[in-house]
Amino acid sequence: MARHEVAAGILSYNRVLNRACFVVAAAFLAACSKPGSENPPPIPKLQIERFKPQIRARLKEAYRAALARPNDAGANGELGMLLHAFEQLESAEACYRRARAFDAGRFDWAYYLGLVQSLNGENAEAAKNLADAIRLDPGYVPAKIKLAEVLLILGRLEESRQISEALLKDDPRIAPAYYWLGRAASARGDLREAEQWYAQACQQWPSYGTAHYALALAYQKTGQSTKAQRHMSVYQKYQANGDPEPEDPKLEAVRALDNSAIAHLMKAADLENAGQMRQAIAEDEEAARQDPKLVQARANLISLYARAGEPEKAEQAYRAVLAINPNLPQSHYDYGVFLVSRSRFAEAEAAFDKAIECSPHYAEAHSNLGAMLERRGRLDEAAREYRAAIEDKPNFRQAHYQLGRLLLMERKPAQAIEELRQTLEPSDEATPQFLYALGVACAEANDFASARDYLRRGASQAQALGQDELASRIQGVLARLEQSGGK
Amino acid sequence: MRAAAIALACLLAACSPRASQSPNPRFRDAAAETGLDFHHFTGATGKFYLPEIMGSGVALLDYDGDGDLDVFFVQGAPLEPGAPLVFPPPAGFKPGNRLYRNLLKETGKLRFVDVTEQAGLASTGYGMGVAVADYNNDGYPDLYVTNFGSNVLYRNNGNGGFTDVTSDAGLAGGGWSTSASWLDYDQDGLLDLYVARYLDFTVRGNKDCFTPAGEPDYCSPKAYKGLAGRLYRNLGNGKFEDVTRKTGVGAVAAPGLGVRSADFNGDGRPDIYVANDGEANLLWLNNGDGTFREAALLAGAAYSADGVARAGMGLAVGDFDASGNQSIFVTNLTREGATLYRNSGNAQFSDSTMQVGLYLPTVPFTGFGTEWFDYDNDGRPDLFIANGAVTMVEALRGERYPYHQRNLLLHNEGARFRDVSAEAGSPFGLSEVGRGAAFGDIDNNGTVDIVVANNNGPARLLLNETKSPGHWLELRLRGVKSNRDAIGARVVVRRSGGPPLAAQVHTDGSYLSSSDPRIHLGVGDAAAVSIVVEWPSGLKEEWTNVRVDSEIILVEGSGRRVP
Repeated sequence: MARHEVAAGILSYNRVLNRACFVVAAAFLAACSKPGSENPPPIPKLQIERFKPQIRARLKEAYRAALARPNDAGANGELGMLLHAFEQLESAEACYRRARAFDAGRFDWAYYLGLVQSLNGENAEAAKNLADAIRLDPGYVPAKIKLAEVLLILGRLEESRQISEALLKDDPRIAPAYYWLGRAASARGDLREAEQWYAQACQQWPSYGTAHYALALAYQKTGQSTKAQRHMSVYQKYQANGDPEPEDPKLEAVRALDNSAIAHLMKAADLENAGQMRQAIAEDEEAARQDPKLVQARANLISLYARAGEPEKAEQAYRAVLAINPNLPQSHYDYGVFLVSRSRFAEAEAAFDKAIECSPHYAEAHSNLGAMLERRGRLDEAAREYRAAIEDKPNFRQAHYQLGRLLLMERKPAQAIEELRQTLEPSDEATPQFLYALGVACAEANDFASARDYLRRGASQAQALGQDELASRIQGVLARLEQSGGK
Repeated sequence: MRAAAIALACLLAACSPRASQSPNPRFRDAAAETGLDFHHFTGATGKFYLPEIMGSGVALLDYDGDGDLDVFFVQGAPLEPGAPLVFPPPAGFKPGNRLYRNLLKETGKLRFVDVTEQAGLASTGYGMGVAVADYNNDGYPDLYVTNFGSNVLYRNNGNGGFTDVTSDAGLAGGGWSTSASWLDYDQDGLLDLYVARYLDFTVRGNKDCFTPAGEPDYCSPKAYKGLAGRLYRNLGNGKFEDVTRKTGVGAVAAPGLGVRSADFNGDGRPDIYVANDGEANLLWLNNGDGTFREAALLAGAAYSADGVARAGMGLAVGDFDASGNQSIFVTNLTREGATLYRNSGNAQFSDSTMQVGLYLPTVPFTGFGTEWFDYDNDGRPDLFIANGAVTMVEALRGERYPYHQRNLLLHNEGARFRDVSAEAGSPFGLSEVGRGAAFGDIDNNGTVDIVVANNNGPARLLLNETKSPGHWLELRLRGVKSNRDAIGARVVVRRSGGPPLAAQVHTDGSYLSSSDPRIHLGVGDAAAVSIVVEWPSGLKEEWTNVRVDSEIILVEGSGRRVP
């Protein structure tokens, strides 16, 4: 979903209308293959006894149709699509090959066959079938992009290049074509040319993480480390989540066949990552409705409901999880966080405890348990939990901060400084608070120069981030430090 | 004159039989006939606990110092004691890790006997991996066994027995440890230890996972949180200090499976590379001041060429292209293909998998144990990969253990690799669930053999019977100021008729396993070579006119010093 949002209003790849400029390499490839000339494989035997009942029923129906009409391309192809949707790729390939054998003129079967062959690592065959698909529908851009990729994998760099160049001739906005041209140039060892193509891909599609990654490495290898760092940062921001995804209604038709609980669960995760809480809740609810024992869906709902301001439902979701599996650490942890938000600290403490019982190296649970214990004045135990969190996750800044604060309260500024220093990287919106604590710790240790330095940095960063209240508090401490004659 | 000499060299190279064709590889499984009857036990009860599918490892070590390689296997255990087992162990099964003593030297015949109990190595933890080195510099290799649970350090007593010194040493660790690597990161002559750790999995917190069609199966690592690896500094008094935080290597918590230390940027200091399962691989470059910096991303060694994290499992590090640089080969999941990170020097890597022909042969398999090794002694390191899936193989649905796959042998032909598995003998026709693999000249015949530790199956001893005209050299380095095993020493062998061969002493790499510390090099036509060793102490020495086809012991300080 995030990918579609990025794409919105910028570009649509679907069905480039200008088909006049047909791809020479694809035509050549297609001419070399003989669709439908080979004997089709038998209809694959399906062992689906352990599949989820709903999936099994659908597959059985499609299977029966294929058995009833063994020479019918549609029946075979539709069985293939269903198998494809549930990632039964070898069986799907056999079905698509049969469909191709009985209807060599249909784009869908050639395209789907090429796709699953590519996934199965049969790239030479995939290239032939994708080329056939392009011959049957020269305007279907996703097939061409896939073919450029497959040819690159096969080391057929020139053919890959021709496909990508032809794509750009049709529509110079197709960012993946620039990317694959870069990859082909890079494979030839021409990093300078690769840089140019990758840069164009990034220009066309600014959130194209994969292209930024390639560009960063190309720059790094040609000694342009500042540029490399910059593009690597963009990559880290988007990773592949912002990559252009050409509209591919054919593949979407396959994906849509998987309406299983697990598919809803996965969709929910994508939506949650994209910040679409309501839609994520709907998907998890659907997953739980379809499969009441799918504990992960219910576990996800604890935190989702809590964040959506539906405490009763969060409670219900937690109880539902407990009924299925009382030992899921994440569910106890999420419930604990929810309870903290409701100021039910004693129960929260118990929930974090349970999370740790199930997952002894759960750093976040240790840290939160520490905070609960600290609230109750059990400082030694709190410190032990913070230390356990740090032991499990040495770069856990919040745990270092909590422990540093605690040590400061216990008048152990030298130890506090050691912990608080661990919080300064990376620099983000939490840093001013950490600098503040570190400054105070240094002042406590009579290191006034460092104290001033950290506090000034803290104040300045807080201001820059719009954290005015914090900035003002830090300024107050700085002023008192000056008044007290700290040198 | 010079031009004529070059032309003559080219002509000679063209006439060399190995330039046009290599001998057929030939391997034979000799595990059963030699008494290597180890059978891995997963403890599976049908709940799909993740540790069941991940183990285990194997080590090759000469524990009794008699001049032949003995074999140590790491064993699984019940994870849910008392629960009915899906795969009960075979008849005569002995629980716990197993040490097999090689009788080759004393009887002249390759034969193994199980000496576990006499050696004091019987352990009943849930074993994962093993790392071997002489951490106390007493001349006897010691064993570090990683577990799902606390790890164990066995000190070799030098009399055929071992003592569990974990508690004194402070090396129990915790969580789920996987591969481990002995290295002298601070170059004080004492071997330190890096332990990769995988996931925060517990039996109690086990999650139910499914195939896309809804069948129960093993979870992806994404179902659990990754754990940071740990680094322990050897204090020299039998104790180790946990320096994970101090050195910075704990800064990233990720599901580590494979680890290898080597000098990747040529600065003379050992670095650490960790293969992570489904997350960015890590390259810890040694700053030389007791700290490390993570540099994989901009070095191009974190992800594959498309910027995607692969399921890194096993590792092979070596100079496969005679460039003098340590390149990294990482085995990954089915449909991902393995990844070759070619080092162009100064720790700058390029994903060259497709260019050298390693993508297509590896893409159908989930790879684990692996190593660069020159099976035909032609001077070019080849690759072996032990394969076996971690989630159900579609074509095997309905079988009791539908995870088995074939292993791979890939011949280095200069610019590209060729899959020679089909012609390499019957072991390559077997389909099993390969995991650990250790490499070494077990029958002392000048070729590198392989021991494969299969998950939920019998171990295999792949004896290398390739008839190669190529000469070879086995180098055993003995440190004096450096650590006694000379781990981390860099060796360059110069020869006529081919480029120099570079290697580093190590026992780590592969997957959960520990290999022969001797450096084995195929040297092709060369009858004599010169050898330069850069010891971890910084001393650089040369030995000239060294005769090939033999094992050579090089002792630090006994060569000719070179600048």
